Amino acid sequence: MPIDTSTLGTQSPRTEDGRVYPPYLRAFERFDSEFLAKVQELDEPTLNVLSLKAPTSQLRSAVSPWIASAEWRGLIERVDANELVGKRRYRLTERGKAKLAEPS
Amino acid sequence: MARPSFVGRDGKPRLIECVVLYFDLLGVGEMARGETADSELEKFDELLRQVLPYPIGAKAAAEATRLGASSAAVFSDSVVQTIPVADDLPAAAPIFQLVVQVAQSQTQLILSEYFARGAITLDRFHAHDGLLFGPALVEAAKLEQEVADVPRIVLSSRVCATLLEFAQAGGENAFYAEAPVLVDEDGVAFVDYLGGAFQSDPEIVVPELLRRHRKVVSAKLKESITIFHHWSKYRWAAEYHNAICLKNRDLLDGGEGHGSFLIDSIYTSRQFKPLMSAAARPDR
Repeated sequence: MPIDTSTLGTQSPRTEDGRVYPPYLRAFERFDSEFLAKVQELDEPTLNVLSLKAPTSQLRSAVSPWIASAEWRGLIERVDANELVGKRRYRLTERGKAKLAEPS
Repeated sequence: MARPSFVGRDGKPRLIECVVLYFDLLGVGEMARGETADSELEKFDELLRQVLPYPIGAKAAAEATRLGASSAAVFSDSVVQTIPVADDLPAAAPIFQLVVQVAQSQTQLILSEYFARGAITLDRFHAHDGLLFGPALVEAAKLEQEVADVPRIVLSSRVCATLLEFAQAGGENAFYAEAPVLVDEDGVAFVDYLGGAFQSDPEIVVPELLRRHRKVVSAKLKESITIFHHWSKYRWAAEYHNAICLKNRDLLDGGEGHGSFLIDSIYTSRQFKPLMSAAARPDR
């Protein structure tokens, strides 16, 4: 179910069917700058490519939950909506590009 | 910080601390024997490579190990996935990542009629050049055979304790205990694959996924009705399905109402509790 776009940018994004952003994913927002830069640099990476290219063990241990967090917040999107998790490739959304461009 | 390596500087194999996921896919052995083995292989190969987020095989494992990342190995109906525990991180970090990831993979496998039964353990392990060895895998195989029993991926007592340790300590890592894990009536903690998929994948359409899950589980119940030990496994899947429907009824009432999502031939009495609110006894 797509994200309710009116909730993007808030603390609690929701899907159109009423699911709420799981609070535990907030812990992974601190990795935004590193992962958003990697997604842009790696040209539509899969989860595995992001994992292999993550420069630290901390980032490698955060790839799956960070992807979930970033999708919930509309920062990244799937290149092909029908791919299953192993083949899924990701790219930045306009929101993700704007977030990446923010001064840290 | 040095990356954990399965081979020492002296070139000798080493056991290192790892999170290990081991699971069997129920029914694959039978599929591999019959006249349809060729077409089953094609389906199995394609699905596994789509569902497992990490590459399969010794070459891929070598590359992943060199970089301290994760890899998977498949032998007939058995899948092993390994994540080395880095020295500078709590073991809860790779456990949490593995639970979040396997919830999605397990959901997708079941929708393709492959039911997984297995375990996640935390202990020493060696995975290099096609050789898988160590207590983490021995324990996982034992839990799969002796404890899991039904199509669930159970967590070892050490894995549960590692997640719960942070809840008790509080602080910024307390969220590790909120991993999508439920505790069954027998005290065994297992991956809440549907709950995990709902939480980690905002693109899922919950009613559609539950309808597909209901269809697969119902078909398996019907197919296995004359073989009790098979039927009882799918009965568990049906009870889990119904519990998830009831828990998420607010997401289903807008359409046909949650009642139409239940598998109505199964009396739903089984209670599943979140990990944090239950005392897990995975090793019995």
